[in-house]
Amino acid sequence: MRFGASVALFGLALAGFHPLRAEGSGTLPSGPVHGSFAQSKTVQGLSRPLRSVGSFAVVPGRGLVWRTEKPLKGELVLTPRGVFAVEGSGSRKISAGGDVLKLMDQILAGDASALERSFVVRRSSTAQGWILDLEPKPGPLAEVFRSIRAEGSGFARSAQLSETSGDRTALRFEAVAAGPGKLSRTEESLLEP
Amino acid sequence: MNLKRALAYAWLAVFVLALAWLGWRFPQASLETSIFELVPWRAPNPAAQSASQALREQVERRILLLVGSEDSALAREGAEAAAAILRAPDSGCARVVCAVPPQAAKAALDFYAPRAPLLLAPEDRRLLESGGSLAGRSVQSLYAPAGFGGSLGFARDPLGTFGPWLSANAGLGGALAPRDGYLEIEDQGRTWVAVVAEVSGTAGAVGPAAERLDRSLNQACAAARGRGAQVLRSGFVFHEHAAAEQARREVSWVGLASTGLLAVLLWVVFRRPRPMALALLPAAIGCVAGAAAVLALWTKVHAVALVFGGTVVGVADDYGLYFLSGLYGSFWDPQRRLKAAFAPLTLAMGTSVLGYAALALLPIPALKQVAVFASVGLLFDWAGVVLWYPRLTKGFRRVAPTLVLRADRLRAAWPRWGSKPATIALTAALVTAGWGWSRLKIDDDVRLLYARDGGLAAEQDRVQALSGIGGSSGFFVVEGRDAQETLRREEALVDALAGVGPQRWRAVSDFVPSLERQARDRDLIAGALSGEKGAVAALADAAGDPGPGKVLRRWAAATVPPLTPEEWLAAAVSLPYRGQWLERPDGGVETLVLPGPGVGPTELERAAPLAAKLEGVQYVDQLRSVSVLLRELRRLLFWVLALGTLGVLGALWLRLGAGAWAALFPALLGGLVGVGALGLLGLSVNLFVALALLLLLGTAVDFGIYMLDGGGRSSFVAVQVAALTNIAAVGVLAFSGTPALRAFGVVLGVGATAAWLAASALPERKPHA
Repeated sequence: MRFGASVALFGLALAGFHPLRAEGSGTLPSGPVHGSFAQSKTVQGLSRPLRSVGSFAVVPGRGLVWRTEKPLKGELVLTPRGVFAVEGSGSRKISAGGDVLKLMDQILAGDASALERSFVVRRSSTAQGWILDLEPKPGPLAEVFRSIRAEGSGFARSAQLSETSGDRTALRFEAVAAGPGKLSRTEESLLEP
Repeated sequence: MNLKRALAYAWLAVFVLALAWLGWRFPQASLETSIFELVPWRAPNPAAQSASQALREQVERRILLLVGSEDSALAREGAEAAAAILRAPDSGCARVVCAVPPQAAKAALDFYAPRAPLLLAPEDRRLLESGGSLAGRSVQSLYAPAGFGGSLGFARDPLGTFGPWLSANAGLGGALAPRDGYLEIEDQGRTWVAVVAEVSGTAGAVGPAAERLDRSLNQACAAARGRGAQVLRSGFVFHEHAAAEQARREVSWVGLASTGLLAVLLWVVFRRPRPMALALLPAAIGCVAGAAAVLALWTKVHAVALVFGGTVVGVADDYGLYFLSGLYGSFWDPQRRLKAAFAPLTLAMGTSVLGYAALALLPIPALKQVAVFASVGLLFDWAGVVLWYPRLTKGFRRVAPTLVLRADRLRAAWPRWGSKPATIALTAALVTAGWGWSRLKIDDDVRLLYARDGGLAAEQDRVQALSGIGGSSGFFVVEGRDAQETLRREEALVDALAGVGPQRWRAVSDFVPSLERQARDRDLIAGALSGEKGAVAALADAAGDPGPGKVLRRWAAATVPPLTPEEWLAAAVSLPYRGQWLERPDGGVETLVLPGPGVGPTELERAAPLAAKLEGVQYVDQLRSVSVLLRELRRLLFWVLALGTLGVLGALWLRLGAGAWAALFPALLGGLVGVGALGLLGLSVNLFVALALLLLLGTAVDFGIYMLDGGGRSSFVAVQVAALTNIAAVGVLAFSGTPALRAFGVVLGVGATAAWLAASALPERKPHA
């Protein structure tokens, strides 16, 4: 019964997702990616969606950094060893690693079959780029997500995540660029293999 | 004359009956191999007794296989294959769990989630009690990325307290974590998948049910290995089967080896098959009679008692030999021989039986069984020799004294005390013994009485290291007049245990808090909502909207019926923990609080004193209590040994005067060297060593007496052969798989050899006419 962070953060991995990389074409650099995001979360029982903005960094094989900057500061680092909340200059482990982390890692590393194992995958292309629809197969992912949709051209531009609780999250990714961006000392030490 | 004849036939009839009965009874006897049965222990009171009994049964039934491979799919496949075999209806296993259906996790969530406003993780409770705030976490969970903050979502867990509660209790399974429905451990690139099962019914250690279970366990392991996975076995049943198998092997093997050695010796002495057979026969007869008596008196016989009893009979029984040593006299007349031998035989039997019967006074059933085995066996042998041997040896011819002459020559050449070679040998022996003594350690651990299969033990240790569970034997029993009182007392204990270390303990109240605590937690949550720094205000602040605050208030104020133990026990979620809940006929409830992952001996030591400070709480460590009992018995026996030595010295003094020291010397040297050998071999001193020294004292003093106070050639032969046969019979035990028996065999074997050599170097006195 270890639910929570590791499963949920899978959705965030989409921030660094690129279909070509996932399909293993290998034409894109497989290095780290960083950028900023805008989140709009529709929560059951609330009339208005909650908006927040922040930044992220994805380092394949190492993990993912997710910083919420407004309206309040909060930071999570997801690594194969577990999920950590960064608090001040330290960190606190919230959840152990698991298959979901492994899956995320495999997707980021371009293992398309890993995605197929956990989701029913539908791909389509539009004039602007691509659309990916994911429906979790029975398992821990299905406990949390109802469906996931990502859109983009090149890197993902946006993602919609529907949770089983009825909450919905819309993410917009901006200024996505190669390289890990600026990492704090805590983040760096957490991302060390 | 007629009476004698009648007695002889009565003896024969009894023996035939005993033999037949043993032949029928032994194959189906329930040979006990559990260490706890070896040294039964009474708990301080009935609650602790029944609780530890219940727990022991649970623990003894549990089977855990870890199936591992670098390829996790392969490990899972192997685990499934093993589980499939254990699930077969006649496998002897029940409740086999490998893959948990996805619904199980969902069921737990569905059961607990509606009670979220009543449940607080210990850390959160401490935080709120000390005036801390959960406002920040509530806001975090509102803005957290998709799904983060628990799978319930903001509406059902707006304070963010349920997730921590759930994971605090999930951590109690040790390193075993559910992944895709399997319980798994990741370790150095290897995935270990758990297969959990229980022994069904009362399989016991031997018998057809045990064999069936053994077979299916072996097949299950083979099936997993067949798929290329590695298998680690953990569970009492494996050790029990290995120990029973070994005990069975040793019972026959020890008997065979000592009989073989004896046969060789006796052949050298008598050179004719009939006297040889008659000299051998008593040991076998004594074992049959002794074993039959023990199996008649006890329904459960400990394997160690049989091995040990057989050895004692083999050692102490030289009645036939003594009777037959008359063949070395100048003529052979069985009736006259009996007349001459009756008194010494009876004296020897009487003192031995008294000595071994004294073992029955010790509060250890297995030793009582040894006492009965040895006493009955020896008494029966003595009777057999006295009643039958004069008849059976009619027409025997005396043995040519060549051997005796040779022995005489050897003895004349054997160095005497005071000579140079003797001094050198003595110095060497003392230095070696001293070295051994310096390495000697005392260990009263009851597990030494138990043969541990090296490979199995290593697997078990590996499982413990990987999973972090099952390493400690101590636990708490909490009792109360009713369920709620027990739960309240348990909570007080668990709170106190938090001060001992960061490790968690497994308690029922983790899952079903007392009604009092549920109400208090609810109040704590309500208190955390309101006020300037309350969660409601913080949410409104962050969202710029009163909406989230309203959701939180509604959640906290909703009517939630409290969680009762009855409801919990009836639900599937309690299945893994039901064994910790014991209802008494008088309505009282006892629960077990068990050490969680990472609780080691140091934590147990610090936790144990808590029981004295809390009401209705007891600490139980059966393994340790039994070891403490063994330590006390060992100390007692060493005092008995000291007194016995003084007594023997006194008795010798009466007969030999100052020569008493010389007569005692071989026994003392034997003891010194025997115990030294223990140290050299890395074996430790325990209760069984004290027993061995007691037996050694009795045997070795005889060597000294006979050598100093010898009764002619025939006695000389009897003593020499008896000494050698003793050494052969007990020395064999030094190769036993049970550490305690091994120590016993080393002390007696090495000690008796040293004593015999030392006695042979004693100056000769004039033999009695």
